[in-house]
Amino acid sequence: MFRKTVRGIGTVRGALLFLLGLSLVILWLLPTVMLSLRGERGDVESFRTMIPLGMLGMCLLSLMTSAGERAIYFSPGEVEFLFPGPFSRREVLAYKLLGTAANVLIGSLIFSVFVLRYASSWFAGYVGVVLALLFVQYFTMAAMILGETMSQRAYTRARKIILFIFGALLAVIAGQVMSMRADARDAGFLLLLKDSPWVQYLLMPLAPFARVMTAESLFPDLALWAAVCVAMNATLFFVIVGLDAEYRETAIRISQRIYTRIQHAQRSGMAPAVVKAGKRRMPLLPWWGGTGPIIWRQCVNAIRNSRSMLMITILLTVAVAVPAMRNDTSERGIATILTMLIWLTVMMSMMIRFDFRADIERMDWLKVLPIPPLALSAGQLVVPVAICTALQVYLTAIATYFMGRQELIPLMLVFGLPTNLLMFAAENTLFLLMPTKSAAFSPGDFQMFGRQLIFLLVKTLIVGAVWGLSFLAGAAVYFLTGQNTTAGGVAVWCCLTVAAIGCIAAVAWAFGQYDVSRDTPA
Amino acid sequence: MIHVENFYKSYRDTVAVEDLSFALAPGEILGLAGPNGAGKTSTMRCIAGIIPPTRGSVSVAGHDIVRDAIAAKSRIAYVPDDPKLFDTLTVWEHLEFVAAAYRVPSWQAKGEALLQRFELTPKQTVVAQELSRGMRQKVAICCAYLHEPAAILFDEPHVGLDPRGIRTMKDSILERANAGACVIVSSHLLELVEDMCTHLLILHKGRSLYFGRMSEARNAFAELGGDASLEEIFFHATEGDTGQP
Repeated sequence: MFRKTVRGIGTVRGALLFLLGLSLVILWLLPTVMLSLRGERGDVESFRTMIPLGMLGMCLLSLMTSAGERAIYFSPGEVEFLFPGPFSRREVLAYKLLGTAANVLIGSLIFSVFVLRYASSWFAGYVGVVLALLFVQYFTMAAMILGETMSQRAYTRARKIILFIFGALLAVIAGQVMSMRADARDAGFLLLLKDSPWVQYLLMPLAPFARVMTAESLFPDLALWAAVCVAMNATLFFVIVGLDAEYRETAIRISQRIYTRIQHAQRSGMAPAVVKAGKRRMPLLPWWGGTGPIIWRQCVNAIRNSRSMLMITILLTVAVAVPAMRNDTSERGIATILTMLIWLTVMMSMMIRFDFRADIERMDWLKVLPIPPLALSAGQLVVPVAICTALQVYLTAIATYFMGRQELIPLMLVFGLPTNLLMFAAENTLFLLMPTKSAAFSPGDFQMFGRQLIFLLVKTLIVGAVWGLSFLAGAAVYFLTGQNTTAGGVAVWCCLTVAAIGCIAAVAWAFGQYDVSRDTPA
Repeated sequence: MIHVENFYKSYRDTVAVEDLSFALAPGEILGLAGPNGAGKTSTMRCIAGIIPPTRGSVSVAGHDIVRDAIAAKSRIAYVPDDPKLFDTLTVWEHLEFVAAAYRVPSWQAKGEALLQRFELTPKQTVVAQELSRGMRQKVAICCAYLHEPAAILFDEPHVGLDPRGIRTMKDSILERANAGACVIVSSHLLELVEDMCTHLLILHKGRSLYFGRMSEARNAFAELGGDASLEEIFFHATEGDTGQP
């Protein structure tokens, strides 16, 4: 993480990006720090209740999903050098556990900021966060290693049975609580859930971690609770090492799978698809000046990444539906939803990457094709622009379902299309001029934050400037035609469309400038 | 078929290739040899039109790779040393894509024959991300052959291939050359170069140390004796000795 953070910092551009990224992180954390510096302490009792619940949730999530596999992930270098090296299984495992602890020590520096409001001192909060995160990590690792001591099949079955019992238990408890208090919702529901004796037993071992974070004094409060937590973590540590399970085969399999995911995410910026070719095949598109084969290829890519697209759609639906359900039909309410749609569009342009950004490792393929760069660039932009526009129309339809104003849907379609083309063209031009692999798994990469911020700023500036100029042209036409709104709107649309199509030339130029031999940092 | 004249390629302050000139006629196979960093890949990429030359001219089938890029590229095939296929396309869809991009009419029978030859028929519905390194190499070779290119460029083509795959690849290169294609093979496997190529180009630090017919290479380095192997010629040319410890 350190090397990734400081990589390229020696150059002026690297240093500037680093500073920019660091500033962004500071700006992100500053409000929380300021709030706690003002001495306004949050509700400590609720915090003490929520932390064990959160930890339990994290542990269960690790067991339920493949996220827990990360606990015994070894990088390819570690697999190549440590596994065949003169080290015992226990030594390698101890190395992994200590490495995890080191990562937790660094990561907790950021997380500790968020508990400042509830902690009596930063030190107590930090120690508590470190111990809590270590517990979750070691618990997950213990579960994985324990699984290895049983046969894998038995473990999978046992895990399913345990999770089923857990789920059934929680459902029964939740039902009881709901029947007791009809108004139980959101966080209030969780607080009530905590009151159930079953849950209290379950949360009992996790309560000391919250106690450490909110300890009022160094001694005996912090020291005592921290000692309890350290003892629990140490027990897990020795259980993991003591089991001496033959975990290496599983670790290699899991590590390979996770590494493939990381590589895919770095290449495409999207979660890897579980690709099955399926029986239905998309027919080839006509030549269309060279754009046809490119559009076809990106269409197939999008269809086979439909799982990722579905996840994005669900997230966006929730993001729009929740505020829209407030049914605030005032001008302010509509402005809020529109602003949200604009920002979601910006986010979509970063998430939907069926264009040059996902083809960074295949640029020599694209460069060698006998297709004019302009046609190739246009072909690369069609699919993401179409998907983004379809999602915009869908989100607008959701918002207008609750709020009325259905006339926004065709407007979003008409003006969304050139705006999206403009935005994706800007995104791809910047990417081709400053290429980088997506680094979805590098939290300490301030240069990446800085780069993303610059991209966002430049993109917003370009789209804003084109919209501003188009609006001016539209206003001129509006007044020249005797305040004809349709004529003004058409003028705005024409200007936007001309500028957007012009931007494809910028992408083609940037594609021509792209040097395949250039280093593209991850 | 391939004409390279006073070709230079530099990256900022680093000169990758310096004043390189050679020409190849249809049916000739050029072996491109040189130590790491000699400028082999830069040369191949420039001929393929992936990167522009800094100076000089490169033309393929009479088309300048810079001024008449599309016409030149439609006659070229390039197989990189580590082909990165399109993850979500199947083997057959790769052929479909190439056929569409190069506008190859009635390509299906040819595609099936290529897959059959490179033992990829059972894998034709498998997506690229599930293929092994060698399989990906084979797919890239099939894609390269599909549009009957006039010039084929191979960068380390044997890497990842099994013995049968290497044999098939060698045979197919010889067949293509016999059919009139011009082939350039960049490889560190000097036996492969010696076995297959009609011409040899030795590059070292971006400069050409030898270009000519393979059979004349021994005469050019007569001091090594008439029965010197290509390996001995290579070490003598690039290191000034015979490579013996």
